[in-house]
Amino acid sequence: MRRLFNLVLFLAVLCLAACSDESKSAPDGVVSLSPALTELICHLGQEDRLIARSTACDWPESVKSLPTAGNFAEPELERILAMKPALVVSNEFVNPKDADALRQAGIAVELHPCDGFNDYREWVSLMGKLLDCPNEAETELKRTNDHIAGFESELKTSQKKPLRALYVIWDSPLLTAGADSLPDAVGRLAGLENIVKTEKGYPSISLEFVLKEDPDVIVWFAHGKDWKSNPSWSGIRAIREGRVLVPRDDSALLRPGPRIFDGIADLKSDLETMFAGKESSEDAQP
Amino acid sequence: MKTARIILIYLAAALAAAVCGVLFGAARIPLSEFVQDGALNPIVELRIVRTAAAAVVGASLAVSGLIFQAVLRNSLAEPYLLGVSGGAGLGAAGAILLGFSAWGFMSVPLFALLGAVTANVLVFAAVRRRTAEELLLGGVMIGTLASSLLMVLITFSHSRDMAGVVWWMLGSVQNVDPARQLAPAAVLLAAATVFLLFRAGDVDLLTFGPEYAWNHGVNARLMTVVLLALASLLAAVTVSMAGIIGFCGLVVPHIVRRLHGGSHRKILIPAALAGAVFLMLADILGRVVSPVRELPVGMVTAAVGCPVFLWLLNRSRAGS
Repeated sequence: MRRLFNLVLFLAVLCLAACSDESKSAPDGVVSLSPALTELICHLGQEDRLIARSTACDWPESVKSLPTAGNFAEPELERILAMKPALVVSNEFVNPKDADALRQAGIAVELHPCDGFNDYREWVSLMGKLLDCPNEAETELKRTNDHIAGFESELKTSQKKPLRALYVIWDSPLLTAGADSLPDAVGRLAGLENIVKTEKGYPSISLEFVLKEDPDVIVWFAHGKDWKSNPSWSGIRAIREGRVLVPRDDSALLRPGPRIFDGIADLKSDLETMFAGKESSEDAQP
Repeated sequence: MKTARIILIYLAAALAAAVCGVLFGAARIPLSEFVQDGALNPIVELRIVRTAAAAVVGASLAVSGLIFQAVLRNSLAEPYLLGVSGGAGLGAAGAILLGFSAWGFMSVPLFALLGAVTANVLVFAAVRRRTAEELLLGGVMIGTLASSLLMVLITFSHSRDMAGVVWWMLGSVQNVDPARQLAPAAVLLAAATVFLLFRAGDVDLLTFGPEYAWNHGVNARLMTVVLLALASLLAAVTVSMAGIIGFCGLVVPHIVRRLHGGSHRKILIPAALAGAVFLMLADILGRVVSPVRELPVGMVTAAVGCPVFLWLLNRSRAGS
């Protein structure tokens, strides 16, 4: 009888210990200051753990009901500390002093770059560990690799020459996506070739360079800006001939998150429509 | 040296700079390709517009700086002193960050102009005794207030919009509408130059102080307000067209005054032409440094103007 009692006691203690470990490894209070990471957390089925988001986090629709806690570069420290989260995740642009202040308050802080597919894969693995959902993370990693392999294989089998593209992030001054940027990687999978090859990041380039390169298509990420009223743009042949493509949802393409492959598929399809007939290209203009 | 000869020399320099502005850029274009299929090569067309814009902006800033330095009797005076840069920055940032830039290409320049003129009007309205010194202090205060409000806007902005504001503030003559921006700015510059040539004697007298000018029959207070308002309007129009371009309005009038004396009738047109040359050359330098990127012209003016100015300063001191 005593043995049985000891066994039951041992099992109960073990169970309690397991439960306490579980709560340690899977924090319930998560603050995400990056839209891409917010999307990833929700995609992994961990939305319930989110207690706050950044001002830019707007997908899925349900996260809009969460309180905001600043943006990726400037977290609102007081508000975050008052929420007492277990974990804050964002990209590397958070001021190190802010990150230290959060860590000193006992909050785990994970800051890593989130610029391309490799960064995304690393974040998926990390989230799998941090949020204790390794199976979901594994599934997402496989989905990511399958999609990339699929797009690459389509490019290999296609006989078409890549279309030379200019990615417009901002129109005046002209900010574009450089060689190692996310739009560059995304565009490559959609069958585009960036005309900016030597500059990295998001450089400001000269209109003269664009005129000289004469891109086949302009992918317009400058949401809400109009290329038609700017006289400096009228010299560019792609503008004159209506080959400007406005992505259906630029956030899907500019965020390295789970929706990025839908964005690439849409971009690819819109490009095919644009170059199949002139009428379609005019439809693409806002 | 006679005034006509000085003007001819500056005019020749301006023409040479303009030709260089059309010939040189990020792309190498042979003369045979300047005209293609009966139409001007778009790259050449772009260069002509931006070279003309650099000339008008540079000349306007130099004339504006010349008047500020003369009226305020302060060698550190520059065109943006009466709150123009802060007001224009706030107007442009407001247009970009609050989404008005979606109204079309002209919305940002118009908001910048509105901000600059509003800041200017506020300075004149807020300062009761409109002496040069008090207007200067009022300008610093309104400029500081506008800059603080700009920071508030930036704090609530998205990163992409913020990049647009920062780049706008660095200054560029790349995106200038020839009909809606360049032509009105050129007309204003021409009108201001003619007016100032007629009133150059009054400007000369004001450099000796308002009492001295008053004793020689000039309504010093009225003339101070008129001249500063005109100089600020010139600066406001340039800033709405090309962003905030520093150094040109500070350094060029200095150099011209040191080279040719203090008679404003003699140095007004040389100063305007020197400003045009300075900014045209700065713009060329900004676009030939890299075949892809472009250096903001405001950065080039500071980088080039500073050592040139210090060299001239030391040279003239050694001479004296």
